[in-house]
Amino acid sequence: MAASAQTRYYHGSSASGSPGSDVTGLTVRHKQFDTDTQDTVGPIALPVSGINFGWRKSSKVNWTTSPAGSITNLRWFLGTNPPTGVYFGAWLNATYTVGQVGDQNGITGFTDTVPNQNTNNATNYTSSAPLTVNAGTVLSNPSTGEGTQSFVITQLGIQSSYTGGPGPISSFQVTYRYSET
Amino acid sequence: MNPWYSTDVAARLLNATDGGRLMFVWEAELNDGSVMRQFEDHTFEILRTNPNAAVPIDSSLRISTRDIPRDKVVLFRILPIALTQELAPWFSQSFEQKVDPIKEDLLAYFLIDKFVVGGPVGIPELARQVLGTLDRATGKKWIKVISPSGATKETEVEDQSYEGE
Repeated sequence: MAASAQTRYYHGSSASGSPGSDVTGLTVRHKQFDTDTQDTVGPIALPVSGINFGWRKSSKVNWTTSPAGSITNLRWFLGTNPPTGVYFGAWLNATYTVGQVGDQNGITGFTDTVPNQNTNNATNYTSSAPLTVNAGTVLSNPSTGEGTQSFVITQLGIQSSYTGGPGPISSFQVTYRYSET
Repeated sequence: MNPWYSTDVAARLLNATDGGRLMFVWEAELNDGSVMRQFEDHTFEILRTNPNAAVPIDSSLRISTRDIPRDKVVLFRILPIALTQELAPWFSQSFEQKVDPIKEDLLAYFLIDKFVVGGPVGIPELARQVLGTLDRATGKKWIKVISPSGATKETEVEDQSYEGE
């Protein structure tokens, strides 16, 4: 395949030690636990008021084969919105931090206050106004791998206004977009 | 997403063309009258005429548009391969882009959507064809984005919604 890409989600204590798992074609479950598996471990409880957060997730695109030319202008956006009452935050970080219990209180500078939650609300990022991960060259022939890009960090929260009942929320779509020559 | 993407025909075409990247082949006319092609001539002609011909998806077997001499190209063209014409008959004609090599750069690339959660209709990724020009003096871009469904969009801004396309 030409420039085959994976979407990798990172887990464990070290990004270099646990280089992420390919989630292409899979649904990634946000929870209060450091896995993507669609199981009942670490559910995010519906709060009486306010918002309950899951643990952060970190993702990157990984190219397992080289492009004929180069990969540029890597972007990220929501293809469909989360259900009503579900908050979804997204931002960039150059370094990796494992998802952890402390994330449940909101992540300092990103989701710990309402203004920060609004700033980093993933619904701000649409196909016509995406989150720019790298506007320049990410990867060039003959290289493979992740090239030059930051982690896209996401965190899901359940608000007291959520009315969907217990169990998994309806899935929604996130998309990486890039130019390839 | 355009409902065409959920058809077996679309799945067959996208699978056979690396997500849509190789639905077309390209050629560039240079200002000295020579023509540069994505594949060597024999392969190029077979792909244009035989819908059963396998598309060489190995990137080492094709030339990147990045290798086109930007100061010499005057016309860039993408032509549907025979399989595309058979499975997506709305692509019967080529798409052309004239370029003034004195003041413009050719833009020609794939715009890839890489979906998490398997994609809206179960496809992991979708490649659109992009061709256009960049005005060197002003930095202004003009591009045409061609979706496998047949939808086209002409724009000066790369970040667009392609919902339904």
